[in-house]
Amino acid sequence: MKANKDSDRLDEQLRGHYAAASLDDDALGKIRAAVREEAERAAEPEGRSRWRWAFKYLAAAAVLAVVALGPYLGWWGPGRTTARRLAQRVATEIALNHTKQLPSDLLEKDLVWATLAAATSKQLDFSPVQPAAFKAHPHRLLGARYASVDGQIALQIRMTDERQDLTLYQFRPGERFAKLHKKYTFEVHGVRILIWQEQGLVMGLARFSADLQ
Amino acid sequence: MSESPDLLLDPLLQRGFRYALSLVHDHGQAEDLLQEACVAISRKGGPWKLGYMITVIRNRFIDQYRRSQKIRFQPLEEIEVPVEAPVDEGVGDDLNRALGRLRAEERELVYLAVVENYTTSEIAELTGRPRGTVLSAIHRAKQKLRTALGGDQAKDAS
Repeated sequence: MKANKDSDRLDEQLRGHYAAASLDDDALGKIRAAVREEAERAAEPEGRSRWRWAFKYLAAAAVLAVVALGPYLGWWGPGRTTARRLAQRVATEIALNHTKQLPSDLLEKDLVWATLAAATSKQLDFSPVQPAAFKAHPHRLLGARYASVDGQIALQIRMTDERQDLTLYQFRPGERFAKLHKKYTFEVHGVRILIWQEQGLVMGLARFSADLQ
Repeated sequence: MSESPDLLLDPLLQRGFRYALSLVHDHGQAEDLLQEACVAISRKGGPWKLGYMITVIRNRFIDQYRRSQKIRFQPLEEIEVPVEAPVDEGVGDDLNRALGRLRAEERELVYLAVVENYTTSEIAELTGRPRGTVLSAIHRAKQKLRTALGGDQAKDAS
């Protein structure tokens, strides 16, 4: 009986939640206008359509020219990825991994930074380090998992500071991340991520945004 | 060609918006997704019906996120990346946060079953999944919501 009551209560909450979400008059008007415009376009006389298609072909040709010539003219290419975009790519991967909450590979009672380094020395091409910010900040290591970030082998370290669960990622920067000098903060899929470099490693700290409230 | 939507179709647009919201969990993105779907429907000349609108919204959502390669839309059986956008800023209620922690596939199923009262078979047909998978996925998603919301709801027996 209680199970059914709880189920009904959740269902009611869900219905109420979505019922309260609605488009305002402006938004509805915008959508109606877009639809009317599309309907009118579909009903256009053939001559005007031909000009529109000609324009589209020209625009497509221009785009192809930019795509083909861009790297030679230095407009874009592999070297043009900015540090921020790189950090954003890393943040996205970290956010997705953080949300997965996959089980740890290393689960030891009273896990500390020293034993973590010793336990991972064979598998990693770096030695995990305690970030400077955590030296004065009370926290507890919960476990660690081998991961990869942007193709680099990384260590995902689960921690808690008794207020919130955190996931810290560490990996060796390599040449690609040499330009990552600043600290970057991102919000991705409900996860707040801080990216920075320290002690020769790229670090990413993730926590659910909801936990920050 | 069917007539363009007018004020009489506003209720349909609202329902389409709420379905889109269940997928992206972001008001602005849901609005954009709905608009794109409505333009696509208008291009084809309709029909302006909820079932068709849901299909178009869903297909556009999958295409959009596959193209951006931000998120992969994977079968529910696998533990995969959740397909979701950042939670709306300023909305702090517990249920909204709990929904934000579900994957898009999970929110979609719960929405269709609970809010739109789709049967399991209808959801299975819409999403191309076996009926059993849909049933267990809805159950798991609701359990996750109850756990996230905490309190008595977390003790709901399966």
